[in-house]
Amino acid sequence: MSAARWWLAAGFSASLAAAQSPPPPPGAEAPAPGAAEGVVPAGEAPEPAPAAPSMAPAAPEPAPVSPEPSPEQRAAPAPAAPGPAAERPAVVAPLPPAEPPAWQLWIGMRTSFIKDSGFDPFSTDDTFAGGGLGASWAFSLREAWSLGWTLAYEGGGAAGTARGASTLLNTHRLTSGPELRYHVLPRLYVFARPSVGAQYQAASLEEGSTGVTLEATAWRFAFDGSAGAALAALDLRGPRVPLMFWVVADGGYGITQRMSLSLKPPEDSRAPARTSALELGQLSASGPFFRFAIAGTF
Amino acid sequence: MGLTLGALTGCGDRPARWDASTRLPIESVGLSGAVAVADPALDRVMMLSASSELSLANTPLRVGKNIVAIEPSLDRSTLFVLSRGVQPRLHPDDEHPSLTVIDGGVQPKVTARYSLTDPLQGIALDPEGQWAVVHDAGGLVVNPNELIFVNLQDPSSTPVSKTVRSFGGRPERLTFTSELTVPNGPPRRLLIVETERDVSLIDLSDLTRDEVTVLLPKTPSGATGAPAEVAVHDGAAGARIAVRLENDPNVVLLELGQPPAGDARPFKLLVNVADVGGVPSSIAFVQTDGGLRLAALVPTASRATLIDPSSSFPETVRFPRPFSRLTRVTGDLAAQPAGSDVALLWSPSTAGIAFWSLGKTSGTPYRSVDHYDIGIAVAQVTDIPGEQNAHLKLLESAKGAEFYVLDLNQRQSFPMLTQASGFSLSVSPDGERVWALRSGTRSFARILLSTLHPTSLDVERDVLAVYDVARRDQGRAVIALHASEQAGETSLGATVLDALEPDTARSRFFSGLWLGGLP
Repeated sequence: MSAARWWLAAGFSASLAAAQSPPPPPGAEAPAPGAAEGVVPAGEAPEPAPAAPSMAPAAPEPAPVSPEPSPEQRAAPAPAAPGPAAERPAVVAPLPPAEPPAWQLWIGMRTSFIKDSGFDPFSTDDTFAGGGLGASWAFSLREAWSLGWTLAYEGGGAAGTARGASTLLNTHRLTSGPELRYHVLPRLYVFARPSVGAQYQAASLEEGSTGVTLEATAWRFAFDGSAGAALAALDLRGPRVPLMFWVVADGGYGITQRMSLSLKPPEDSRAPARTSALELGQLSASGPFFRFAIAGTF
Repeated sequence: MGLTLGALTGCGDRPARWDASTRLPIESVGLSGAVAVADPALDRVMMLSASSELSLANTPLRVGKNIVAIEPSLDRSTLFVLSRGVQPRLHPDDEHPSLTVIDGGVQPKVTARYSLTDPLQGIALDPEGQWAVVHDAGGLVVNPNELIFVNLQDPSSTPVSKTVRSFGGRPERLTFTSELTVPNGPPRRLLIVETERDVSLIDLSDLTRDEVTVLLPKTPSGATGAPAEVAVHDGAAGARIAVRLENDPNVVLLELGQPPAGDARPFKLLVNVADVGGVPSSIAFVQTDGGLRLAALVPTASRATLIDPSSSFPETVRFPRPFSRLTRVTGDLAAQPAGSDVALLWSPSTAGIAFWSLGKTSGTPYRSVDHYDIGIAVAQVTDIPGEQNAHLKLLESAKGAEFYVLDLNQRQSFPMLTQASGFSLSVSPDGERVWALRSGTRSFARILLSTLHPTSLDVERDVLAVYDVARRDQGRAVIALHASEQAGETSLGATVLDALEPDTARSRFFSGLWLGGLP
C-alpha cells in the first residue's frame, strides 16, 4: 500500500472504529495523546502493509482503538477465537482500515434552472426537475486524492400549458467523465466531476385545432461540470458486505446543445394532411443545476 | 438549497403571455393582403399572410391595451384598432387610449398610432381614407357629443377633439360626404352627424368652425323627429342633403345655399320639408329625364315618390311590388343611359327585384319598371369590387338556402343553391370570386364570377371564416380559419389554399396560431 493509501485507510479505519466499538473496559489502554490526529509525520511513513482485507474476522474481545495501528496489527489481524457463541456475547470487532470507496452507485434528484425563453412553454418557472442514477469507479489514489470515472443517466420532465395547450418536455441525459476527489476527512470528500454525453429531448404540445399532439425530438450534445461533497452517513460494512452509504450533493452548470422546437404531428396521427410545423423557437436546456444523491460504496 | 440556488441564478416565473387566455368569440377581419385576428388578451393583432409557397406568415402586431373596436377601411387596405388603454390610469406610465393604424397588405405593419385623451369605443371611418372619427365615450362622466378627429393623412398629427352642440341627442351615425360644392369658398367635405333628434354638419376643411345643426321637425304624432337615413348629392346647381325621418312621411331637404353678403361662412343651410305621401323606407337622389329628384320608396303604397328638390313638387311611380330598398346602379352598367339613372329595387319582405329606369319616368312611369320574379326576398345586395365584374351584384336572402348572381347588363339573375341556409358570402377583393361558407362546417365553395362555376371544397376541420387575400408572389390565397374550444380555451388554426386553383389535395394546415410571436 502506498503512503497515500495508508493515510486514507488509517484515518478511515480510525473513524469507523471510534464510531462502532463499544466503550473500552476499565483499565484499557487509552489511545496515545495526539494519536487521533491520524497524521503520519513526514519521513516516518510505515512500511507498506499488505492490502487490508475488506472483511475482518470476528475478534473475541474488542481491540483497543488506535488511530495508528501497530505493525503487528497491520501485519496480522487477530484471528477469530474458538469458543461456544452462547457463552460469549457476539461482539463485532473494529474493522480494519478500509480502502476509499472503489465502486460507487448513486441515485438521486437533479434540479436545473433553465432561463432560456424556449423553456417557457413547458413550465411556469425556470426549474426543471428530474432523477437519475449513476456509477463511478475510483481507479487511482494518490495521497489524499483519488481519481475515478463516472457514468450517469438522468431523466427529467416538465409539464405546463402554453395559452391553454398542454405541454410536456421530457429529457434523457447520459453522461460520462472523470471524477476527481479530495478526501478531506475519512468520512468526507469533495469532488469535481466534468462529464460529457448526450441528451434526448422530447417536447410536445396538445394542439386543439389539429386535435393531436405535436412533437419535436432530438439528441443533443451535453456537458456537465459540477463540484460537490460526499459525506459518509451510514456504515453498514459487515463481515461479508463492505457497504457504506453516502450523502452526495453537488452543483454546477449543465450545457445542452440548442434544439429547434419545430413541433410536428406524428406520422400516423389524425392531424390534417400537410400540417406545418408549429415553430416555438429554440430550446436551450443549459443552466445551473443542483443534484442530491444517496450513494452506496463498496 | 435548491431554492437558494434558484434565487442565486435569478430564476423566476415565465412571462405572463404564456398564461393569457384565448376565448371565443374570435374576431377576424379580411384585408387586402392579410387576415387580422384580434388577440385581446395580449393586446395584439395577429396578421396572417400567405407567400408563394402557401406558407402562412403569422405577424403579431402590438396595439393599444384593451381593444374595443376593429374596423377595416372600405378598400380593406388598412385596419384600425381602437383601444381604451389602462382605465383608470393610476400611474403616469399607464397607457392612454389609442388608435392604431395597420397596413393590411402582404407585409403587414403598424403605420401610425394616435394617442387619445379619452377612452372612446366607437369609430367611424372616412371611405376616402382621410379621416377617422372616434366617438361614443364611456366612463363615470361622459360627453357623448365629443368627437375626436384623427387625420389619417398625417401620422404625426394630434387628434382634434370637437363637441357637437346638442339639443339633447347623442351621435348615432356619422356619414362622410364626398367633396361638395359650396357657394362661398372652395368645395369641401362634410361630416353629417345624426343624433336621435337632429342633424349636424361639420366642415372637415376647418374643424374649428362651428358646426351647423338642424333640429328636425316633430312627427305627425307629436314625437321628436329622429333621422333614419341621409342622402347626399353634389352637382352644378349646388349640394343638397336629404334626411329621412323615422315613422314620418316628411323628408327634410337641406340645400347648401348662398350666405348673406358679407357673411364669411361657406354656405347657408336652407331647410325644406316635403311630404312623400307615406312613411318612406329608403331615399336616394336620382337623375331623371326631368332633372334631379329625391326618390323616396313608400312600400306601404307600393310606390315611389319623386321630389323635385328645388320646388318640392312630388311625382309618384307605382311599383308592382312593395319594394322597400333602392340601390342606384347606373355607374355599374356597361351601357349607361345619358342623363338619367337606373336603380335596383328590392325588399327583404317581398320576393323579386325590379330595374327602375328613371329616364322614362315622366309620363310613362309603369313601363320604366322592369320586374323580375326571383325566388327569394332580397335582404342584402352586395357590390362586386373592381371594374371587371362591377356589373354583377350578389342578392342574398335572410334565411334562404340560395342566393343569386345578378347581371345588370343582361338583366339576368343566376340562382346558386346551397345545401342549407345559414351560409355567408364574401367577395374577393379583386372581384373575381365569391366564397360561400356555412360557418361551423368543413365545407365551403368558390364561385368564379366570370363563369359562375362553383367549386366545393372540404377541409379537415370546421371552418370559422374564409378570406381571400393577395399573396406575396402576386397570386392569391384563401385562408380558412379553424377554431376549437376545450376547457374554456380556444385553439386557432388555418388551412391555406391557392385561391385561383383551390385544391384540398395541395392545401396546408397551420396550427397553434395563438402561440405566434410568443417565444
